[in-house]
Amino acid sequence: MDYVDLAFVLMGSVALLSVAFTFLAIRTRDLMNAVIFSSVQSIAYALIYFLLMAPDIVLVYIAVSVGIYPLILILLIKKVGRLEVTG
Amino acid sequence: MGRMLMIDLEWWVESCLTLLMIPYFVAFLLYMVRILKGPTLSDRVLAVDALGYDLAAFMTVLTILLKSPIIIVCSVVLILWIFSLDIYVAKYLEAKELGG
Repeated sequence: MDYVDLAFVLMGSVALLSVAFTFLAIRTRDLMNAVIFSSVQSIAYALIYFLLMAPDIVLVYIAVSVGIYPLILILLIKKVGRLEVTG
Repeated sequence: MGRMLMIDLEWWVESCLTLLMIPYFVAFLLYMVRILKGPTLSDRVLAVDALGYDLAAFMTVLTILLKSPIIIVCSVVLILWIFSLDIYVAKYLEAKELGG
């Protein structure tokens, strides 16, 4: 059995899932929930890079996009406030 | 005698791991449901953590199936960094100083 087709099917489905979570992260008004949705999208991209056989990119991408990026965003949310005010 | 007891080990391992991928997919769907409709922030963070840990185990399974052992370091890094998100949100909810 060849597992390359399975890898491509996984990549496509995870990419669709990341699109859905990006939409949620843009549309939600609670900024902490936006950080959580954005981290789900980051994990999905990490799985895509993993399936593309690029472990060095995965190492850097996880450290930046799951570790440092939510830290900066949460520090900003502490200063700004949690609910987004429209208008 | 020895020829009779020969077991195709590669076929068994691949078949068992392919069957074991189904519970992982079911668990990923349940975590997605909990992330989408979690009532509080803590539920969502806990679901993202569990999804990260399960995804690391799933990456290990994929490493065996794709026969490329160099990839296994990604799962360890994912486990270690997904825990930091938990700490950040816990610090935010306790209204303490981040990093101090």
